[in-house]
Amino acid sequence: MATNPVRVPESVHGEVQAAARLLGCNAAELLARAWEAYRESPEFLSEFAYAQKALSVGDVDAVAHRLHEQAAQRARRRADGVKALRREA
Amino acid sequence: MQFRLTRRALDDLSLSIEDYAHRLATDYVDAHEFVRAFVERRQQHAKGQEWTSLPKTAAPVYNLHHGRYRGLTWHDEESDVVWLLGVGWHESGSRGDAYAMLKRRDAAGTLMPTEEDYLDLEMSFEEARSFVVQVREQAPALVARARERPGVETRGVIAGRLSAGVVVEVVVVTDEDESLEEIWIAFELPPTPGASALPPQPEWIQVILAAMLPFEAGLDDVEFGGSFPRPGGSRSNEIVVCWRSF
Repeated sequence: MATNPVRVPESVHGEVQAAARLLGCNAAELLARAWEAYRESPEFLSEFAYAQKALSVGDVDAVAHRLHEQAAQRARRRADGVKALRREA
Repeated sequence: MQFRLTRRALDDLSLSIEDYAHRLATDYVDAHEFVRAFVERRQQHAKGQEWTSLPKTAAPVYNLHHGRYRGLTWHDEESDVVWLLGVGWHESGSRGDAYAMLKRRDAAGTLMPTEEDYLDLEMSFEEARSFVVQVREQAPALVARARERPGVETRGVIAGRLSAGVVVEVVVVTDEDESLEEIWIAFELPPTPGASALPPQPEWIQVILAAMLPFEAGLDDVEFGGSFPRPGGSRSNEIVVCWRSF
């Protein structure tokens, strides 16, 4: 069964971890702040509106498809990140 | 932090991709002695002590020995996963030696985790659907229960994993035949352990709020943060959300 760690988007998470190391402060506090910033983003607003509309008409599949789509995009971004580590001759 | 085997590493150990690729290695340490060694050692040190320089990939990968098995692991900090990348049999100096074989894979671009491996970290469509079905039933039901006892915190667990407290405050405007309803939600972090799969944090919050908020209300009506109306206020491990409606 797949499980997921609690996280804000990877780009934010990476910055938070780096900032926490540099500043020597609590990553949990910084993550909470990062979440505050993310919830105001256009991405969050549009995804929320989509889910609210779909759920209001009982379209469970639409929301599940969107979650699955986001997961696939995340997997692609992560795999691209690994490919970027290659030293091409 | 999660411990995972890539599909390639599962194949190296003759473990079924279908049975294990979606699972945490901590859940199947009995399936193979090398899986147990991987989990036990990397739980102590996510990286390891002896590293190997790969011919093509600029990533710090570490050697893992167990009996005559040899493997390479990589702590993918961005995803917070320690991967077992591949495993072979030690034959020092031989072309078939584990480390030589794993380096050849790196040169060919088949050592590091692939898109499929990363997709294995995620919910399947069926798991996503099951999550949404549970949220659609349980999230509004929790708010409805809180409405029956205004001013009192009602607690519930959504999708078997997400503990939340809800308080509904109702303000009646005297002589105006109007009332203001203020709904407070406190999501407790992290999610509790359980069988059901969850999307990452922003996504589960989006879906639960979407299921709780009346359709006519939008995010403009929502306030994040604030002091949850209970003695002692919000807790440090909570995400607090509030909205008001007339």
